[in-house]
Amino acid sequence: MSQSQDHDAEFAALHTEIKHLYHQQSLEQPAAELDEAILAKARTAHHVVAKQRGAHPSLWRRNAWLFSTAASVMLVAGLFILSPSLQQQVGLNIEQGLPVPVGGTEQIDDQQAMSQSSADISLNAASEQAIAVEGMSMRAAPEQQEKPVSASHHEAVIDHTPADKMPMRDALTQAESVRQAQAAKQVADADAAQQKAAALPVRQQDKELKHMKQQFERNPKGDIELDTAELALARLQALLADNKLKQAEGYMITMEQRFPELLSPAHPLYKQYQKIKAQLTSQ
Amino acid sequence: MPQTASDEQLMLDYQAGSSKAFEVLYRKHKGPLYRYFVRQLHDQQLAEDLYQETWGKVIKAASQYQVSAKFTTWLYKIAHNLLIDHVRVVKPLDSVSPLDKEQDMDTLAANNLCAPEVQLEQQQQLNIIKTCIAKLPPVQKEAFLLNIEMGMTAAMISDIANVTLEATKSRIRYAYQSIKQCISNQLPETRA
Repeated sequence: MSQSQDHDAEFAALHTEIKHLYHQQSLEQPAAELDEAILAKARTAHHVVAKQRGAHPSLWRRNAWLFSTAASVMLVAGLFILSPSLQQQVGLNIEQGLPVPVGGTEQIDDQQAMSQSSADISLNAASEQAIAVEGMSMRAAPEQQEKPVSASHHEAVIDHTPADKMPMRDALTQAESVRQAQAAKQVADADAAQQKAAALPVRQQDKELKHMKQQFERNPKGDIELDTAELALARLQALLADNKLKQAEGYMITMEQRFPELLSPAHPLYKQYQKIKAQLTSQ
Repeated sequence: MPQTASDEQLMLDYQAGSSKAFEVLYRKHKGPLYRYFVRQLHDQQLAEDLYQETWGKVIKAASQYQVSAKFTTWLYKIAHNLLIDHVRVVKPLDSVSPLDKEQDMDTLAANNLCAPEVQLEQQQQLNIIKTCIAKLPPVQKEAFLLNIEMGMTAAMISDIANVTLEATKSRIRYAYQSIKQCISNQLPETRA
């Protein structure tokens, strides 16, 4: 035991002595060129270069997710706009969702329809009526959207009565009175048209309907004026008189959806509507 | 770069893209590794080639580096394997002839002419130790160099050289004893 300890002590002394001598000598070092070559290789190693490049990625790489999302949205939106059949499949109508500009595309369409009807008087009445039916259903949405807005405006006028709100309230009241006057005029026009339609023979009724439509189309607020229960009833009568039963049935369904107040016995046109309905269902 | 960073951390930093970390690591290990080859091969060009190749392998493997052992163990395992591949297959290290005795004596004699007595004796000792190391059998020389240059334990050396711990301990012990014996033999000769 003590012998091995002696050996260890001897070896430790030897180790220290040799180590001391060894480190006293000048120790060889690699040449500076060799150092530089190795360090240059280390700096150009692929993983170092990749990391250095990765520290400053391009704008496209940094916002890849954002750009890809935007591109996808644009692609889908573009497809929907370009493909009406796709809109129908999904059950969307982009035009319905968009706000209708005054004097915008609708007006251009109306003007085109007007010029078309003036150019060709002998145009098929049924096709025009079909357009009219479509037009009513298409134009129903903006007014439906408008209604709550006007109602809220009306409530705003009632609720807010401070002095600073007064000019706004006056303007709104004025606008409302203009609107009511227009509505009264529409009702009167519709009544007149209805009476004319009932009195004239079938062919004359068609011509009258065209004339009425042209009259309404000339009106700058044609979109709204066309969309009344009275006019719709007149059109329904005209379809019935023209014996376009299928179209009349479709139009009647649309009317009920658009003007549910016609089903109320309190409505002035209720009896007239029920009479036409009975006439239509019996045939 | 903090000076206290371990070799393993430096290697991981280099893996993460810091070439500065590699530079620190290189400057720390370049001398011992260079001497590891130079002292065993006696062929400067081959030693430099293998030295460069070792670092090349370190650089190449850096992207896959994982801290599973000490960096020095990993580094010298690469060096050891290269040494085995390039030298022992072609020419067994045992057959490497030591430096010419007369040549050494000529060098010492030349030094004697231009140096004071104390310096001369020290220089003689240093040259003798170099000669004595060169005379060691290759396996002992490798164990000795790893121990004296890097302060590696017998366990670490046995891991690098892929031999048993006992064999490594014996190699280290014999290496030191042989050098001591060699110095004792050489000094009276030079003084004579």
